[in-house]
Amino acid sequence: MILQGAAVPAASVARGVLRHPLPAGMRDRLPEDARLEAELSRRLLGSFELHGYEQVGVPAFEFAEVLERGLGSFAPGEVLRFVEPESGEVVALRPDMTPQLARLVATRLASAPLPARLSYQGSVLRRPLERARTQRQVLQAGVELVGLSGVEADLEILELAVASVQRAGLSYAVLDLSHAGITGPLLEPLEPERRDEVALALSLKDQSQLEALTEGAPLSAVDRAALRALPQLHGGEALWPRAERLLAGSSAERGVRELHLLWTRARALGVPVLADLGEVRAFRYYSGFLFQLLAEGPGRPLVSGGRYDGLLGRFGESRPAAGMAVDVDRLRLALARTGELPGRGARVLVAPELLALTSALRAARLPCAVGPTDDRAAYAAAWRYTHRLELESAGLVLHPVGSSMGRAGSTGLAGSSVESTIDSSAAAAAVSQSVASTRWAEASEAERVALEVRRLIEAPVGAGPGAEGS
Amino acid sequence: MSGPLTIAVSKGRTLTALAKLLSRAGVEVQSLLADDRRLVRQSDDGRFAFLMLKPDDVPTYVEYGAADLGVSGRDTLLERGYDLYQPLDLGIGRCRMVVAGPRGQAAPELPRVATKYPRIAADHFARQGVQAEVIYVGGSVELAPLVGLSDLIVDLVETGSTLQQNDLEERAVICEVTSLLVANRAAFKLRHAEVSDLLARLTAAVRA
Repeated sequence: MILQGAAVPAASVARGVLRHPLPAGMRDRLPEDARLEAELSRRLLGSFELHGYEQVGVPAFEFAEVLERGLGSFAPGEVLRFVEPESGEVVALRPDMTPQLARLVATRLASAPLPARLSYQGSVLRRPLERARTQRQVLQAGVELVGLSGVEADLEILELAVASVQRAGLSYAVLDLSHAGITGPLLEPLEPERRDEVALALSLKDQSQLEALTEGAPLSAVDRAALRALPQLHGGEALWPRAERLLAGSSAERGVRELHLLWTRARALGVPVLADLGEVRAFRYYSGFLFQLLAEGPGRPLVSGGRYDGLLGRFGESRPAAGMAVDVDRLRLALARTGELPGRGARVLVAPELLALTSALRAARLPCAVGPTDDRAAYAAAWRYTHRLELESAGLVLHPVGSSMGRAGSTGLAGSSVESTIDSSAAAAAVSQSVASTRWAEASEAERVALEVRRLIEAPVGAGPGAEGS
Repeated sequence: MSGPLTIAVSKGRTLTALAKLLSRAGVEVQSLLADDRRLVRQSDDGRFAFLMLKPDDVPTYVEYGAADLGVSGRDTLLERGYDLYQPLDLGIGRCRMVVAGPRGQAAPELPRVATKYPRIAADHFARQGVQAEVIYVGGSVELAPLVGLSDLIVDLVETGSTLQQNDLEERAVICEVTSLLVANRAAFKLRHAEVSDLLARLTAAVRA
């Protein structure tokens, strides 16, 4: 590509934005995104912890053979592999953490009493399929419940999925349930290649393709009819009579019964619950219920999971297991859509002459740093400080950042958005003195000033001193 | 959920047939057929918004959730492989994806194939066990064998008259192509009642 020098804005060349490109699908996170990612992860993990799940860590890459044992032979193109120089073995960057957790439980924790409740957080890496349409590096936070089966265990996972995104701030989500015991037995008699094609048509709900592919396939008449009905079998209450009639006598019957029971119980979770009998999932280790949690915004599910009773057996210890993972980035998109993103706390930029106050501010749990010698207002706005603490002739002054338009005559606004002179000339004098002597003589005085700053930031104007209990 | 249901459609030859189907399914389509350059058009009752796009872009808008539903040819869907639902064959825009070559002239064992659909072509020849060299061209594919760029072409054929006029003959049909209703995976669930209702009406309209 030839770019005409004159057509390129000088600034973009000077900043070198294009000079060090990233591989497709990889990206940096600048402070605001990184803050949200960390905060959402913290809330999710906090929720898992409240439900008794303990966090574990697993490595970023493993021997490909081990991951494949869990995932089945996933498409070679979808996983990033390389030869590890130490061993000469092929290793793969994890495309999914569930098989790693299965390995961990089946080996390191094989003798621990059951059930095991474990949580994890980390990035999985996938090759973007076809185009760079999805992120390669996906941050997930999830749980595994090993050693319990049955509807109660399934509900524990569903309840935790709903509770964790609610704790992260999301007020509305739709739960979509399905069951591997419906599609699995129906696809079973097909030869592998045809099975993949039919599974793809099912996952696309491509009715016409599904009919073409199942024509003349080695299926009983009732199973063929059941398979062809699956793309239309989704919905709420009204679905069940239709589903039970259309799938009666087919090999999907048991799966439908289990799903209906779970669906009935899941309605107590306080979110709308749908069921979709034709859902198939990319990772084929699922053996029981499957679910997704959806919300407006990302255009994809925020949470997905289910039951995979056969997975641990592949690592030598057969145990029932279920789990789920939250896609943190999609959760962020959903929260952005509804305006429910976690807000930021106060950040105070301190004038250099007030350096001596910083320890006291930090002790009062106010994040702060010392600003540059000039143009602190612009600096503070650029780096997302919420307040500036300045030493002016009137004394110590706390300026809110980024509200220059609303500042004049804004008497009714909340305390954090109007300029406040700290109500203590003595404190100002003390600070001035300390600057002069470069030694903070009275720590108690700094502490008092810091608490006053915090009170001004937190308390609404007009609430008056003492309104804040602390 | 609030707001109109968003449907991505492509301007062009299938629009009239699509409008007829939508109309039979109870969708107000006057704005869809209006002869102007607006790219977003609301139906008069405010229940639907139509996005007017290039055919290749329809599944992209739907996959990302910028549109809830869309209407796209199976050719585009097969070529790129999108992560969405394609629940209903609308039976419009019917044509077929074929392999064609110069009349009476056998292709060599390792043929060169010109096409706008490199993935569909590569998959087809791989299934036949033929090592074909697939060459991407953006249009006027019929020209390629005439000037020696390729031995064969893979292209969409409606009547076959373009092939005939360029002295080409059909060698094999890869698949039938029609327009399908596609749906964003999340919107399908989040707006389940609205989407299911439209899907049922459209299914009835297609069968009528």
